[in-house]
Amino acid sequence: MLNMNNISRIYRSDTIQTHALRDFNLQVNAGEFVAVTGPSGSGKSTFLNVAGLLDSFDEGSYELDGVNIQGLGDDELSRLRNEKIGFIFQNYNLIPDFTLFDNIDMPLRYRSFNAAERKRRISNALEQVGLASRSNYLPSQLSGGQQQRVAIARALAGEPKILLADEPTGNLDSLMARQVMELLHTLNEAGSTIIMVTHDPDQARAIGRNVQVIDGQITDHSVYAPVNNNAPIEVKA
Amino acid sequence: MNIKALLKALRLRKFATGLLLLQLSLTIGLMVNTVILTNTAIEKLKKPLMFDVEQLISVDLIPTSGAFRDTDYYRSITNQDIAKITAIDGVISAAHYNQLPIQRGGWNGNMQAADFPEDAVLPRELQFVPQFYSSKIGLANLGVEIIEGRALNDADDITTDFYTPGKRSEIEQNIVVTESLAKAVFPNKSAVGELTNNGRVVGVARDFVISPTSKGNAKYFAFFGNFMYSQSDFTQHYIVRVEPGKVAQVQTKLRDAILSVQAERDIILIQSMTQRFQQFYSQDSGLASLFAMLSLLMILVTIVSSFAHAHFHVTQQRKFIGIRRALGARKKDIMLYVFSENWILNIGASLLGIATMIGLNIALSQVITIEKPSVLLYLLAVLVIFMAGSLATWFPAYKTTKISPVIATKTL
Amino acid sequence: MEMFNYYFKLSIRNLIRNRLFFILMISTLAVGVGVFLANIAIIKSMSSDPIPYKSKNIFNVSLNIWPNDTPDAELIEIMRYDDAMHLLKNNIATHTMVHYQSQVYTRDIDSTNLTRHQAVVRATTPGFFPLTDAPFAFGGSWQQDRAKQIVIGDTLNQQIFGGGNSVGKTLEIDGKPFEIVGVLKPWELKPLFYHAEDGQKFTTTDDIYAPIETAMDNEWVVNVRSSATERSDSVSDNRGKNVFFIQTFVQLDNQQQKNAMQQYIDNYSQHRQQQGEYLRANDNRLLDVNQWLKHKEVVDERMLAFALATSLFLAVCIFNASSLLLARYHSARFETGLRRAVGARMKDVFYQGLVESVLVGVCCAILALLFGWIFLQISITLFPALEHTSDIDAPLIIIGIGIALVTSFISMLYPLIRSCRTPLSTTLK
Repeated sequence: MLNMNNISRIYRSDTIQTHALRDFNLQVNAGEFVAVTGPSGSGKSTFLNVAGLLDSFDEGSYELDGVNIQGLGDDELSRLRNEKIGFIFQNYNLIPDFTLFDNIDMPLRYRSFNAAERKRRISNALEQVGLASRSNYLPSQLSGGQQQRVAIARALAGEPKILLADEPTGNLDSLMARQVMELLHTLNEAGSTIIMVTHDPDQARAIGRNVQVIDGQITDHSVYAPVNNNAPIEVKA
Repeated sequence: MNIKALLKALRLRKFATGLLLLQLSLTIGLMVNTVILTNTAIEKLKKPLMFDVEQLISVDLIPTSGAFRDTDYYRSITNQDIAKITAIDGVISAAHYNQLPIQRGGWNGNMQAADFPEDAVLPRELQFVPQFYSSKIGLANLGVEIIEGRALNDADDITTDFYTPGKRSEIEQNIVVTESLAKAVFPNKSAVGELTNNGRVVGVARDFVISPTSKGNAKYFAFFGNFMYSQSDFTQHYIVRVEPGKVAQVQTKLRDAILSVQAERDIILIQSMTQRFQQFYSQDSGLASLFAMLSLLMILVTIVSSFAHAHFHVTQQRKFIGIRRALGARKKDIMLYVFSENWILNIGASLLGIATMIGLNIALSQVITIEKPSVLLYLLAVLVIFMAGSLATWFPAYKTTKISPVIATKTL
Repeated sequence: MEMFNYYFKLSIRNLIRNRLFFILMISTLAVGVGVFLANIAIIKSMSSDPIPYKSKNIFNVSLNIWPNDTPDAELIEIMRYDDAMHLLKNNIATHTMVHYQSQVYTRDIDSTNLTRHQAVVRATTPGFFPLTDAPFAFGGSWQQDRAKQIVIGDTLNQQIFGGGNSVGKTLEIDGKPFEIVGVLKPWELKPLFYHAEDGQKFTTTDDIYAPIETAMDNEWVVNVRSSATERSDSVSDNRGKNVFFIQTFVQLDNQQQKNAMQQYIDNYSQHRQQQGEYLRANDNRLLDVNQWLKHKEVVDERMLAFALATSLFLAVCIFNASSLLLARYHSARFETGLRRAVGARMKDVFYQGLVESVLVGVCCAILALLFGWIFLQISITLFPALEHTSDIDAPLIIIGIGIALVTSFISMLYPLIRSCRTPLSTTLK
């Protein structure tokens, strides 16, 4: 599904070169749920940006759902983002003065679906996240957890091959966070491939596969193990 | 206040800043040139005309009937008109004229001493000297005195000879010339008694403005003869001299007075000499008004853009302003911060404005005559821009003081 | 089309959400376009070609037959009666017309109403009509040089006879009867190229067209700049004297004709010189209609100056709109970034911006036409000489809408490119 080989991403300022990713290798198979952890500045976000085709990379190769990303133009990348990827952001990124319906509708507009098809997908997606009755609400009328569920619905409506979640529960209290995580697990059990960046070791532990990014490289492919001498010190609540 | 930080913030938005700078500097350039044009127009209108403009009313009329082709008839009607007008309450005197002072073009001809050599070239301004024909009171009626020699009298009247067949070519008329014309034609001696191609000079009149657009003394050039020109298809002119303050009152009575003598005339225009003068420069003052209107619009646009920029700036920086407040900035510190951005822009625009002002002045001077800009006008324009900008920035700046420091602790 | 509707809805929502912003932006832009439009309206009609299909074939003849050579002496178009007659009879041109302007007072000779109407007279020759393509409604030109016959214009026909076929009716001028042999249709010629004198460049066409010999015989006044180097006692006395008052226009349809005419007038003035006339060192000139109008400075230089200022003002308004939009797109980066993240191509973002700029342009166009009309009225009030020059007509409305759309697009362009270029990964954090 996702195949990254020796990816490097270098940020250059006037004087300094920073390797945000260095010889980064990751293979994700269809149906997997992968948690990506790592300290701040480790390269998690860069990985997600590159994986989500929001950012380019300097070296290596990247294949997404059988498509080699190398050398694709902006139009192609946009199409891939639209059709194959569903984003879930930490801060939801809903357009505040669009209704839930219009928010979910937005990505669908960039595909040649007719109105009926779009409507079907939007209702389905809202149903999946349990907000079917509120399609005419504005985001501000919802709680944080509900807003994140709308964002998930927006990601689902495109029926993507892979969901990329960036700290999806980062802004939520524990109860709401649990509801969102349950939703993601349900989706994974139903067959969705999910890559999630998280800070929370408890969340990571509950996920089938863990990878840890330090200094732009994957250092650990193992299932999350709390006793790890290389891992940063973590304080558990 | 941290000017460096402000400059850096402006540099980050260099395109928008650049546009704003251009806009403001063009406004300065246009404003200065507008004021120059307006000033010139006003100056022209303020130049003394040196005759009793405030007391005069002019009438333009033309006969509509073939009966006036009989010059005797025409003249008798003209005389009756003048008598009737003079009898109106408030009128001091009235006379007929073949043309009016304050004019372009008109009835002109060359003027030279009778012994001017054939092959010499007459200066251009003497080729187009206005020729005035009126009654003997023609000059006095305008309020112009004789300063040398004598005024025209009844014996100088050539009308009868002119309209007597065969006699026309024998006429040698007596004329009064204006002082400047006398000096131009007879530079080294008194003109009185001298013969010109237009007749013998019997008197010299004090200078007054006849052709305002002519250069130098040529604007005072004219000679006067005693003659009632009576060609029915030429526009006839009367000038009515009234007691001070009675212009409006007399003006309303003239039409009926004239038509009561003989109705077959088209009264083309009755206006005070003051109006005539304003109308004479209406093109210049019209252009100045157009430019003034444009300048006002530009100031308006400046206000709008200053407002919009400050407004946007403030909206975008709400959080940062909140943080500043939380860290101890006073309300007036914040207001100063917002204002100073506007001021820095204005300073930049003022510098650029020098170039646009001069550039526009040069460009305009290619098509019209325009004076050079002055430092005072420039400073004035800069002041206006600063005031307009500050005024427009005031409301958004004031709104920043309403931003609560609490905003700093909220995550968005 | 569906995408257009979607973007259109988004744009309207956008405009309403940021209404203060857009009202300010659109109205400043519209003021700029409006002022510019009013100015174009004036200059366009000042500089228009009155007779486009044959303006290249009609020439004013300026003869070098002027005395008084001084360094600043100019060649002047008016000529003597004798000069005009020579040109009229040389048979080189397809059509030749000579004319002077006069003014009379006239009435219907059969009417009981004694009111006379002021009428501008073109004292001319029959060549006038085919040369200017004056449109006849009824009748035609006079045939004899000294016929007491006239052609009248539509305005006078309406004034005196209430319109209709007035051929055969009689006008009284100075107590004498003149038979109407032709009536023209309403006829506009802007600028009035055959009489492009100060204050008359944009007046209406004439009321009465009369044989020049008849006009002179009847002493109809020369109502145009004239000049004389000897005394003339009356208009009819001008024949054979050095009185300059007639203008001449010829229609030359090919280069041979033009060469022949140039040759003729060169020979003519040379001949005059040989006969002892003291002439200026100027060339004889044949200027076609547009060259002629340029020579007569039909486009008021003040209006050109004002045009310079209004174009700068328009630039100011565009700069203003553009920098405002830049600020707005800056604040809309989030939404653009989000759209890009969920798969909108740059093209899509650009297209959306384009739809918005069209919407802004249309609003701006409507306002600009309104402002343009207002400014035109103001200009005419402040600048009375413009009164007959211009009006906002259909092509101008189209130009106005075009300018509004283009300016709003220009204003949008850079901000839009900027918002498209924003790196995606930075906006969504």
